[in-house]
Amino acid sequence: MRLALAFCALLGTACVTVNVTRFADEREPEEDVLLPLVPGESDLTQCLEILGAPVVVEELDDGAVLGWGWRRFQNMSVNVSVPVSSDANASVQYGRGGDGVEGIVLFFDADWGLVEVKRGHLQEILRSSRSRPNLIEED
Amino acid sequence: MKRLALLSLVWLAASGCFFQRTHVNQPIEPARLDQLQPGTSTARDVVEALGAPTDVVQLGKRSAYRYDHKVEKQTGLFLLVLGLRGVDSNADRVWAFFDENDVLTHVGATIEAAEAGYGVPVFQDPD
Repeated sequence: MRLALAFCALLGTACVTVNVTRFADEREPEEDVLLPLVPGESDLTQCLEILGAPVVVEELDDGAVLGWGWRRFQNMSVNVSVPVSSDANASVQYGRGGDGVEGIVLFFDADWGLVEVKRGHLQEILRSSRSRPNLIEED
Repeated sequence: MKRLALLSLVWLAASGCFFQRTHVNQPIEPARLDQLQPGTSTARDVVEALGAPTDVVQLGKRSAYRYDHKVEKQTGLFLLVLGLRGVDSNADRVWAFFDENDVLTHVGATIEAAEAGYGVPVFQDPD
């Protein structure tokens, strides 16, 4: 019993804390949702009907790039704090989990025809596809 | 038995929980989207139906307006040394695409903000 009380007293001083966080942002589409989308055949109307509104829209050359993203992870961290003197504590924190935003990126030509489909880390795909914005010519 | 009750009391007294709901922008009413007709509606019609967009993207001579409403629900449970927190966010989002004459060509809509839910990790399916 004494041991249990000592253990409770130790825990009560919050020397050790464990935090579990589950994070979900946006919903991941079904695996087979991309099957009807065929580069060279599908267009923007079909893509919007299937995937809904994108998270991001950017200009790309004469066309555009549209991205749909979602994030879902569980993070666990352990924090250990030990008093080393009357006015100082030493603490160590270890945690894992939490990837970037996964997503689907669709590339369109000037006539809103689907040119390419990519799936992976949203920001990486968008970063690699970015180009300088076009000048808008005056009529 | 008394000791167990005492320990349970200490445990309960030291625990806590919270619920938090955060909104960004006003909800998008799906009925207003029915007023938008690609090929005939203009940027003015879209603004009258949905209000000022949260973002405008220039696509060469064309453009796209973004509307969104986000809901985030957080749940926290603290049991002495164990903290459990769940964060779930979802959005209503609309993109309206216009040609160089500001005529609506495409509309993409996702209405899912209401699907955000409360829950902490151990009480939710990991899906």
